[in-house]
Amino acid sequence: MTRTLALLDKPNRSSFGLTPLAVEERGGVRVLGLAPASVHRGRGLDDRQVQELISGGHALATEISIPQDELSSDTVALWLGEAFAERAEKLNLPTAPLPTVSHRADGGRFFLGPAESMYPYLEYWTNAAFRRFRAESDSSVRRNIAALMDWVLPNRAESLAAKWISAPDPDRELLMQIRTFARDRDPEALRVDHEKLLSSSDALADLRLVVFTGGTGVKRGDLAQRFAKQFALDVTTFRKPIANRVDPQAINLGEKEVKQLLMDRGQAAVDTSPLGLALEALRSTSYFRKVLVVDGLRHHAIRDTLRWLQPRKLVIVGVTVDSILRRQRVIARGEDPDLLFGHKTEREIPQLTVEADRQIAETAPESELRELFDALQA
Amino acid sequence: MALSTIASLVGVAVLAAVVGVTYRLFRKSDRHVPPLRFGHAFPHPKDLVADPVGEAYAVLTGTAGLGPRMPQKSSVVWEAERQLGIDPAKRPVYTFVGCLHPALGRIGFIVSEGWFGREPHGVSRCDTGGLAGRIGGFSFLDQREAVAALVELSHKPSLPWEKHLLAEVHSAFGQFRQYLTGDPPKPSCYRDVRQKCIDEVRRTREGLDRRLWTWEARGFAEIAVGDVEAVAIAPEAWKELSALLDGEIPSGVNFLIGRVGATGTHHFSEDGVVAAFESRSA
Repeated sequence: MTRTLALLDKPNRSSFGLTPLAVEERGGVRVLGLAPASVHRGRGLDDRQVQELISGGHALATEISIPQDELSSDTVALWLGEAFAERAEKLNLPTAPLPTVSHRADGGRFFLGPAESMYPYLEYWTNAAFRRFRAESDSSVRRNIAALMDWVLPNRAESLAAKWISAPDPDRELLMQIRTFARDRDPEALRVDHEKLLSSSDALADLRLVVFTGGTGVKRGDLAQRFAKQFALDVTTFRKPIANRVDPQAINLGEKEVKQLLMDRGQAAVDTSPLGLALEALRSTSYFRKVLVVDGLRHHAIRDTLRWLQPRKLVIVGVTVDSILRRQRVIARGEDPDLLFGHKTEREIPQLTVEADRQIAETAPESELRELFDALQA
Repeated sequence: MALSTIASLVGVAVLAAVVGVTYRLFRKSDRHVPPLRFGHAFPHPKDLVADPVGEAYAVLTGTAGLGPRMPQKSSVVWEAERQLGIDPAKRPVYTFVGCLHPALGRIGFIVSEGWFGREPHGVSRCDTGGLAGRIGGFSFLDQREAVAALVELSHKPSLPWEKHLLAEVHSAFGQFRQYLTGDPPKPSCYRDVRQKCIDEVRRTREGLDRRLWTWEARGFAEIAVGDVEAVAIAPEAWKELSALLDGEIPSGVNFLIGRVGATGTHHFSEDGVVAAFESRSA
């Protein structure tokens, strides 16, 4: 059992950020979540010092028990302050679907996970806010968005550009930036960079996604591949990033055991960071035609994340098959259909299929796939 | 009574001025010693109900200075100060030479030589509070050893302590940067009780506390905004301070702001902190 003691760099209720944390494990104190360059600052901390940091206004007390003997050293706390959430909601700038398990602390709540999976929440919220900022014509709303971005990743180029262009005195703001986050930059070069960024668009804004959902036994993957091949499109799967996390020793396991392992890891990845998993899948292949086929949607959290990312077009396809045939296929693979369909990674699929933009049978003719492709281009 | 009080105050003031002038003359005459900066993390975590951001804001806007603090473990500090000849009515501000402590405080000031030169008290080759109280790594000493070490390891500001510091850093770490970044010293490099403590910690515990070898400097002057060369500040603390400053940041102060990323959190701009202590442009 691991016990969290404190979130270091006490986060504010107006903030959406990441903090390191102090935990008690096996009778000792460990500081988690520091980047390699800062690890030395957490060495040798003991419980008394943690309590002093709390009482001195440097850290926020948390008393959470985590049912794990040891958290990885890159675990951070993704912090969502109450005031930030309210302001973001008013500006219609919600966060991406958050991890499943949250913990409360004074002024907000937090989520634990690897920095690599948690950081995208800040990065992509900033991207979304910046996209909205550029599209917004009301200057007071633009100022509010820029001010809110300052409570997320104030060092990001997007945050700096938004703050600069919406500042009452942009020249003064530029000088402020040069003395803080843009140190050693030339003011003129920084101004040009801001202008370029403000007139550019992000990659997701041009991307069209067709996402296939369907449970084990519907041959969803085959249909996705057939569609991609017919229109010469790139394909990515959620399986790929999950498989990358599986221990190489799993190679020695049988097909059935590997599938079970992948399902368990996949569920854990969704619970920890739906955004992280969605982005891993999207990034795991290059898409030259700005159209990407995504295979293997199994969770509402992932679907909602893909929607939240606001690609140019998103079409969700539910693959259907006769239920008896599906059961027979699963049995033929030596698996118990009732047990398999009851797994957390299968449970949401029937509803996702019903709610999909289109339902297509696994045997759909080329003409039907052509219709789907046309819908994607519309 | 009044006359004797005035005479005492004048005496103290004259003495402080003499010490300060002597210190400045020494610094000017020695071209081989690079300027050393002092690190002051605040409020000290032992200050209860403290607001580090509010206090930084007050100093940076010139509405307050950082003065001496009442210690929590007062008996330990009073004893250390008594040994060091400090009048309880006029206590110093404590800083570390080339180091921001305590660990994982949200804000630290990197303070110029000018602060120390105004009214220096002295320097010691380790954290005197820890030594006098036999806390942490100093717990291996007995009371007699600790008291003797406190005197032995402390220097008056008029002595060429900076040369001693640099020589010690050279022999214990090789490079000043290693001292700045908190690397542990080489084995068997100290010829005083610190070595005994280091050896004992290495034998019995996991981590070495750098307060065993990080030099401490004490000055009677308050730290004012003009003394602050740089502010090392953690990412969340910066968000709060930035909102308070509202675009008005004092000239001459660099902000060494931490950041977050996919590899974790950089508590401060770590390269910036090292550069600020190393006398390069911060």
